[in-house]
Amino acid sequence: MNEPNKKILEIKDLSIFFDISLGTVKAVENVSFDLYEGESLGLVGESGCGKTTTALTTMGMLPDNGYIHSGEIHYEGKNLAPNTEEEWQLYRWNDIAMVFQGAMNALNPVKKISFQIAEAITLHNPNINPNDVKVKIKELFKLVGLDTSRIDNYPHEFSGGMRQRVMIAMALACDPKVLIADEPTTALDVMVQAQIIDLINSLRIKLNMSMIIITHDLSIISETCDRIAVMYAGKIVEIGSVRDIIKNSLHPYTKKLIAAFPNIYGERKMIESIPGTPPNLLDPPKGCRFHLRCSEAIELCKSIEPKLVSFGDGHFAACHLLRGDANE
Amino acid sequence: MNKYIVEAKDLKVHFKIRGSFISGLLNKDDKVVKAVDGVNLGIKKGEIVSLVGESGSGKTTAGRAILNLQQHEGELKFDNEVYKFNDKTWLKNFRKRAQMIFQDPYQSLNPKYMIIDVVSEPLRLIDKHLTQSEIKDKTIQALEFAGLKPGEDYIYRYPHELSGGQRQRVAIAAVFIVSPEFIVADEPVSMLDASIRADIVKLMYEMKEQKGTSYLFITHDLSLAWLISDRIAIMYLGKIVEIGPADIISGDCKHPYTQALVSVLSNVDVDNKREKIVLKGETPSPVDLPKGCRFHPRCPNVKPKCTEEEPELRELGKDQLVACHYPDRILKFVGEK
Repeated sequence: MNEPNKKILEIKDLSIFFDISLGTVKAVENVSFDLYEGESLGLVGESGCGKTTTALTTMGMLPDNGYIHSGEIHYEGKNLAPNTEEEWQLYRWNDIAMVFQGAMNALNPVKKISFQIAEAITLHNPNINPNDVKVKIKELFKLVGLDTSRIDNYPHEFSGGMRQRVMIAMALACDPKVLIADEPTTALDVMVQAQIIDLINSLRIKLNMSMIIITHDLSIISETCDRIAVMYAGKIVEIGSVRDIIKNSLHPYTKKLIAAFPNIYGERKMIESIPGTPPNLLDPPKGCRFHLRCSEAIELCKSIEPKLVSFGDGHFAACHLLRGDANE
Repeated sequence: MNKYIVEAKDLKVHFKIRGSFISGLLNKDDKVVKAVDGVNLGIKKGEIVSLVGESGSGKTTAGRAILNLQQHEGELKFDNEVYKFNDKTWLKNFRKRAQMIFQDPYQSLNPKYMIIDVVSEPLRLIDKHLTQSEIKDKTIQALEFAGLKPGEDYIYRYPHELSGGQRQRVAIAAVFIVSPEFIVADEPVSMLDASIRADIVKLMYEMKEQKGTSYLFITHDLSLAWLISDRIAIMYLGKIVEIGPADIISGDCKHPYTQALVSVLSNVDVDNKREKIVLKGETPSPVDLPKGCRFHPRCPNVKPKCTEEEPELRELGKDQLVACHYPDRILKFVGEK
């Protein structure tokens, strides 16, 4: 891990709300993180904690009932948050692209693969020559390790792992600088999972991309990422380097999340689960959002929300039980 | 006394694929998918055996066949008795003693049934003379065992009111209510969040400790299998390629497929990164099985003999059976790396 140089993406105090008939869902609140050039950041958390929502927002693809309540998204120094749809289209796929969750269902079953990739290329480069498109598709197929003779196949002729490769090829169609991968290996077999992780790692180095990997599986993140941000109920509770988070985790939620994964090279002991369920984000609990499930909660946790505090070397955690650097 | 609760000898499940109308006219033979192709497996009383494999390896089909939910060939014995398919009382009794936990709690519960109906259904089928209050008491007892406390709060709810973890608990309560001696658990936690799967696994373990229940635990998650089972069987293309005590996973597994599976296990431990053996390609189709060893097209250590002759399971070390012609060579091969 070489020292990252320049910030490519800067998320500042981002809050994303959804209006539904029952009220306002505060899906993401006051989330801030940076993504450096060539870096890979993992977003981890339980289902419904706002990982995918954060990612969709950085692509300008929120559903109609969702909106950015406050905060900024800086891409190469420019704030994208107030963008209109037309302005988003200049960035989406050209600069920031995404590999969507569920490769099985993300492709159109009645269109050829080549047509679907060509669609992405021609939409963003309207003046491109059709022959160049074909050349580009073949290049992309080679890049992700697929047989170039099969570009005219239909999605059902491909296996799950191959379809995931197609999704990655499609995301790379316009040479983005930032790639967001949403659960890239869920629903794949272990061996195929390993192949896809290998592919993602090698592509990142080869193309010098920055990546955000979203998953609920900490073990995958620890193999692909430089830094990890742990999210709980719409907030980042801890962020830091992979080593800091895994070996020196501070927040009680992170610790419990790590204890939920067995380690076959360690002691054979029963995994632990986290009691209770995540809070309802229509009406999040007062104070620390984790206090209802936290075994170490004190009175303070029920009333006052903890802020992210620095513990040195870019390691931040939000918990009242911890004391950060003296200057905070 | 017989120590095995279930024994399978040369268990086979073959599915015929109907060819097209034209190939029927041309008198071509139908193709056959050999989903399970000669599995030998014994599960001792009070033992948890994990059946691990990739999708399409036939692990679920094998589990269903063992529970007589699937037509099969080969000999199956339950508590030292050969399955009596024509004997209704035997079958009824078998259903009471052997149960299944399904993978997806979002699909396995009838959405129109209240929880009390879902949980008590097996009980009502087995004993038709129970009174309403007896049914209610037993349901509450089962729900509370499954961790849904207090049980009264849940019995008149519908499945859609519960979360995924709670639904899986209901499914387990419905199995537990008849106190089976043997349970096939088909990926019971694969649909659940990592934070709650430990509870479900613990629950199953508790049942084993309290009642001596035996399990066939079907999973693709090798580390979970290692954690809870006494023995692990690795399946590849319808056959068991290696079987042995759970420790072989963290220690010396011998089959190259097992070794590859272990090496690619994602691991949270950042200090213990090992070299990965990532196999190329994907599992071949079970219609056209490769000649010789089924694993040879993907094996990193293939020899001429492997393409000719199919290896049988043979004993190597204590309780460890491996189907490979060159298990010693593999050890060397890994050592050299």
